[in-house]
Amino acid sequence: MSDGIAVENLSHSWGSFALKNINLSVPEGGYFVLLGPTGSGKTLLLEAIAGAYSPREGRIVVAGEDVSHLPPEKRRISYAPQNYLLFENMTVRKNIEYGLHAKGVEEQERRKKSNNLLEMLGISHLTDRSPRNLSGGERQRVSLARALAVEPRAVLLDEPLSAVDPETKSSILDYLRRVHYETGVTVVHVTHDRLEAASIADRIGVIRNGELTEVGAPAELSKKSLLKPNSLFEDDNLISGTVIGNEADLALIDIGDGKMIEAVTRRSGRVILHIRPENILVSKVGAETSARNRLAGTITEVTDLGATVRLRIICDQPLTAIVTRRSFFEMALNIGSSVYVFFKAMSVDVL
Amino acid sequence: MRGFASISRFSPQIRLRSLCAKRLTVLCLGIPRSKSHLQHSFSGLILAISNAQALSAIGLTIYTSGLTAAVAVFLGVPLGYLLGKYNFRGRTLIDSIIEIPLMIPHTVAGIALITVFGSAELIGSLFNNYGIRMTNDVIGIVITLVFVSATYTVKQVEEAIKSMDTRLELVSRSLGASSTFTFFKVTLPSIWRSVVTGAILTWARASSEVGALFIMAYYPAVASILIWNLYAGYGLRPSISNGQVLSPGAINVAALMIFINIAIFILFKVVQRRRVI
Repeated sequence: MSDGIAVENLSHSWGSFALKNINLSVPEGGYFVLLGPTGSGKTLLLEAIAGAYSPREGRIVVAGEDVSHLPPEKRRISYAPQNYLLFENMTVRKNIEYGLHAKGVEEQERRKKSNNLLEMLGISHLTDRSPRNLSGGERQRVSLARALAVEPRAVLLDEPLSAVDPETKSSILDYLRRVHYETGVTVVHVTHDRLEAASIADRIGVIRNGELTEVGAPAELSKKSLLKPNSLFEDDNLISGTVIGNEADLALIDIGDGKMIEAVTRRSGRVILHIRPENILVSKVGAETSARNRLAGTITEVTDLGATVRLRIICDQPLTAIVTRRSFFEMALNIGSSVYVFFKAMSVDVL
Repeated sequence: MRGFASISRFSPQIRLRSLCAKRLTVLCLGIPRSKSHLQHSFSGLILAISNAQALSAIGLTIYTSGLTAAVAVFLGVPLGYLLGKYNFRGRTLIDSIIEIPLMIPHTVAGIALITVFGSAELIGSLFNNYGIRMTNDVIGIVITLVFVSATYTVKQVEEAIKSMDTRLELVSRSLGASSTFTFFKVTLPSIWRSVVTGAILTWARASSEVGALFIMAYYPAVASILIWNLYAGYGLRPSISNGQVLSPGAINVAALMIFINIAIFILFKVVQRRRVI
């Protein structure tokens, strides 16, 4: 697959902060998430791709064309900034049709495209509303529709879920997945939330202090990071898998090597599973419990956290569990101990 | 600059209110305190309205201060935009030059202007060759008023651009809009309240200018100069001799001017409060 967006050796500095030798490539139709803490330079990198400034060194290539020195309007890359920044002097429809209007598209054609997007994103009822009267989730969907209306070569989303509540977050993620699937547009999405990143990305790039330190698929990255202290993914159990069956909302998920995990979800296809370390039970015996999931493994690392102890357990998938200090000593656990881990189907977040 | 800093310590709204408060104070002085005083005040206003000289001066004031506000918007919006958005070499110098009229006495501003636009001076003589008088003419009045009052519009726009989220323009341009399209469809609608506030401040300042006009454009007399002339020649009250009105009274012309200015001011505020959608 050809490169949708390629950033090659990009460097740029602002006083004491600099983006240093950034290299990344997003295949056409790919969903790339740039993950990093506040102040790491992820938004600056996104703005370089959008055309807010020309990088001092390196280049940005979109669909084979070097756009490094082109103005934003010539790049055909839609930018959806944090907090959405809708045009408040226009209705929702006019916001969506803005780019088409700027390009001189006929009103009939504009209306047709905006109607399709309004329907796709479930915001038809907001057509004539002012952006001032919209909720965070609604604003996000309008912002997305506005970005997609011009049929860009790529869409840049800067913290698209930062201003919405957790429930809306999940629904917006579903919209993003659907829109990406239906339009096939290349997406670069910036976030500081690793679960958000893992739940939607094809590939994730981790950026710290202006440097792209890791790039990989979510599951790859979580595996690597689990073994690395102070990682962004530390303590989170992220496992990729495929839903192979579903009965009464209890899904059977293949996580590879013939291993299965059960989780409560209606999702199908490829999923990322998230299990909190404190929701994992550890036992030396494989007793029958009500928990739907049981895996056998070996403790490879023990970290004293004071009242609790963190255990790294390798059971095909590396997992992290947190147990109380008292349980740890009563069960005589240690590095090398063979254990069983249990967790309920309800404890598995399906992302 | 220190001079402007002391003025700009206050928000534009406070400065605007202060300007209006001064006008209202003058108006209050003319508020009738008894029935006979009311009759006096009313007949005084009628006297001013029916005086051709007073009406002509007030008309000229409205025309020239309105034109000044329009010129200030025309020049001040692009200038304020440049100063607010870009950090270029010489920016501080331009900013300082724009603020100078607020720091110097207006008679000094008048002297400065006449040394450039006087009929025997550099620019003035150039225009004089084509029969265009830059002093003691409407052109002279507008040049003077723009010099002493356009700063308010430039500074308002500059501050509005500085406080505007520039990513809004990036969004527009990333959607394929040119920088000109973006300016008129996104930037200007975002700062238009500041543009109107700047225009009101400029207009209000221009309509009350006296000092610089005394030197640069004494004729034709705008209202502020006529009021001074009437006061200096005949005192505060009307002067009538053998049935002929020598002076409609400085106080009556001043009161009429205040009513008109307040009416225009209210009109501006109504326009400013209108929502776009």
